[in-house]
Amino acid sequence: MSRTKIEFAVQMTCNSCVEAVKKSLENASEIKSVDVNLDTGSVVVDSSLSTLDLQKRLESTGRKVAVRGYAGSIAAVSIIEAGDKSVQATPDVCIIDGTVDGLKPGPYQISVHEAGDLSRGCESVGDIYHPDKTCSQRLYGNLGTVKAEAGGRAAFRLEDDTLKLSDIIGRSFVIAEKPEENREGRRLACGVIARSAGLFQNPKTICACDGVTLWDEVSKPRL
Amino acid sequence: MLTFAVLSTFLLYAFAEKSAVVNLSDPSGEYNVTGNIIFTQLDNGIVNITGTVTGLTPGNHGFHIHNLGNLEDGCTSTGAHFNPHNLTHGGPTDTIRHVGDLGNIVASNEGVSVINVTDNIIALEGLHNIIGRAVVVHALEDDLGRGGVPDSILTGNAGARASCGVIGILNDE
Repeated sequence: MSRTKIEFAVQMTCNSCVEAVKKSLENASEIKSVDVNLDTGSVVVDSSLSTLDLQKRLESTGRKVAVRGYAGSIAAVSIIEAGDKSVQATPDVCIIDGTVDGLKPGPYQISVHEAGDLSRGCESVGDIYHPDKTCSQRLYGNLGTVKAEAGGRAAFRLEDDTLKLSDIIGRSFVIAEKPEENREGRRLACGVIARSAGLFQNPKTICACDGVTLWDEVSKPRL
Repeated sequence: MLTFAVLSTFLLYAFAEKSAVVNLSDPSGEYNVTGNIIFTQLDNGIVNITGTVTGLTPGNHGFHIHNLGNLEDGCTSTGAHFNPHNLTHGGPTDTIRHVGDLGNIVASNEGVSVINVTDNIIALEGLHNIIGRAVVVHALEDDLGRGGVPDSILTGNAGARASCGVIGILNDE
């Protein structure tokens, strides 16, 4: 498994908080290193765990937690329903890390489609992306299958050595029902794949526009 | 003359290479500003911007490309104006401006803004590529850097973010 560095913003006020945060990330062989900075409220974790796993561990300390950035030359994010994130970790492998809520339990197809046009919802995003020049054996944008558990949540962390993040920014991410006999499954949700902040590129905790703090945003219920 | 106008419009699109689209919405639910805008990059590098935004208050509204397309925390998480050359804020015709400074859009008394402008700074490829970033429509007028308050040269003092969307690929032939 490839490791990625993810930067979290964690609401910390004192040294005992730093200890609690470190403790929440102990005893996991998937975590290589943890770097906590009390002054900037930043926690950088180098691991092969999913963002959701790490966020749950950090939230178990009772503190507010938000994702601030992903390591890599570029990072991207696509927001559908409860959100999906993908990040390019190394030049050779693309890590797709995400969570989708509100599904019926069962398998679903995830894919990258050619257009980022949501003017008619998921109908206007075109076909699964497959550039003419590609030498991949599969449909280039076909990321495979993910499974929704009993609570309706599909959480996944896939590694893909075909996809290049620079080729898919501005296109769209789609989750659909499993295809049947070469017929595409019904598209359930989609989002445009957008540029996201890398490590330490997102130091703000207050939005200059309306004075809303990061922690106010984190406290809002997600629709 | 009419024939000429029709023909030139046809030529604009016939030689268009790349296009991008943004579907604007208001994740906060406070402004209910929505819209659809298409960006078409012509062979000479100029980008044509056409579309409609509705639900606005009458008058001018700041219209910018923000650095990130991340809508995780609504329009807040799209970052600052797209500014790869680290310049101060300005108007679309100024030489000193952010790449993302597209000035204002004007809403009618009914709150509708019909957009049909061009810009020769933004692009759909290369260093000034706006694809994957966000369009943000602001609640207030962009003072184009001339308002004289500290925020003028940073943001145009255009107030809250009333609507936003990720710029996606429409056609990359």
